[in-house]
Amino acid sequence: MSGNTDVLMGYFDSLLTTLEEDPRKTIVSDLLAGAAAQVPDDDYTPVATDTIALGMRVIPLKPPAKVNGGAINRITALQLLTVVKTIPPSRLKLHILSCCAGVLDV
Amino acid sequence: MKIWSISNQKGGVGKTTSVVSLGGLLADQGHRVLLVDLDPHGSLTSYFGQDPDGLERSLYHLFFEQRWRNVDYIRDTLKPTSLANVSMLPATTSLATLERQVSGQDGMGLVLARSLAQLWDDYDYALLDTPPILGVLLVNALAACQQLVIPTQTEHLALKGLERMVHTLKMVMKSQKRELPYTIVPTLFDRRTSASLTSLKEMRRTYQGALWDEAIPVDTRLRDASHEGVFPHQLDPNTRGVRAYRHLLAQLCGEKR
Repeated sequence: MSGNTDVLMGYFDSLLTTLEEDPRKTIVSDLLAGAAAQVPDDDYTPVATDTIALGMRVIPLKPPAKVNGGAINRITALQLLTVVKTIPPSRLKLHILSCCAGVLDV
Repeated sequence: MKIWSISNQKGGVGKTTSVVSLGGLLADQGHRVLLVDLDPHGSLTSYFGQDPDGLERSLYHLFFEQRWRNVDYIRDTLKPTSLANVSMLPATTSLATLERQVSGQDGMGLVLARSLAQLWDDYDYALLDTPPILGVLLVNALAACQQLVIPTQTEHLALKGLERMVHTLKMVMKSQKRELPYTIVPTLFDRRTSASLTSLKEMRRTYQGALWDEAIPVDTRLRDASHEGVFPHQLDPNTRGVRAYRHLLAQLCGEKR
C-alpha cells in the first residue's frame, strides 16, 4: 500500500466508523476515561508497611520485587494510550489502539 | 428505498443532468423519487429554482446537533420540484465548510445514510448528486448508496477522473468491507469528433465489464430543460438525450444487460 493510499484509508476509516460500531475503540476509550493507570497489586511486593521504632511511618512505595514483563508491557500500553489519544483519527491510530487493547487483555 | 449515487471526481461530466434525467424518468414510471444535492455549488438546487445562498435549511444542517435523527426536521428541509412525486434535499454553499467543521469527528461519513434511513418508506428511489472532489460529502454518498453510476465525458482528461473515482471506490469498499456495483456511463458523446471516438474506445478497453454499452449523446435539449427548470422528458420525451437515458435506466433497473 502506498503512503498516499494509507493516508486515504485512514481518512475513510475515521469517517465511516463510529465508536459504537467499533468495540476496540469503545473499550480503549473507556479505559482512557477511567484514567487510572492501575496496575494489579499482585505484580508488586510491598517493601514496608510497618511503623519503625521512632514512630515514623514508612510510606509504602511498592516498587516491583522483580522484573515483571507483563506489568511493564501493560504500563507501556497505558503510556502509549495517553499519547495516541492526542493524534487525529487515522488507520495508524486504530492499529495502535487495537494493539494496546490486546496487551491489556480487554 | 433504492439509493444510487451519481459521482465522478471530475466536474462537467454530466452528473446533475444524469440525476435529473434519471429521476424524472423514474417519476414518470410512477415511483416516488428523492433527489439529493451534495454539491456546495448547488447546481441541482438551482436547477429547480432554489437559491443555494438563500436557503435556511439544507443537507448541511443535518450534520450538526444530530438533526439526522429528527425525521420531521429532514422532511421540513425538502423542497418540491416540477413533478409532484419528486422532492429534493437541497444544498447550500455552507456545505463547502463542512470538511473543516467535522474534521476529526468519527462517523461523519454516515450522516447521509442515517438521514435516508429515516425516509426509507417515503421514497422508492434516492439519487445523489455529488461534488467532483474527494471529501466528506463524496464519502457520505458512497457510504449511503447501493449502486454507483459514474458519468464520464468522452474525452481524454475525463479518463483520469474516472481512474481516480474507481480507485476511491475501491478504498471505500475496503473500508466498509462490502462490494458496491458500479456502471460507467459515457456522456457528452459526439460521434463527429475523434476525441469522443478515441476515448470511448479506451474506456471499452480498460473498463469492459463495468461500462454501459451505449453513450449519452450531446443534446442541447437537455440544457434547455435546465433553463426551464423542468425534467428533460417533460420538455421533450423523444429527444435523443432522453431516449438514451431511458435505455440507461432500463439497464440500471436490471431490465436489460
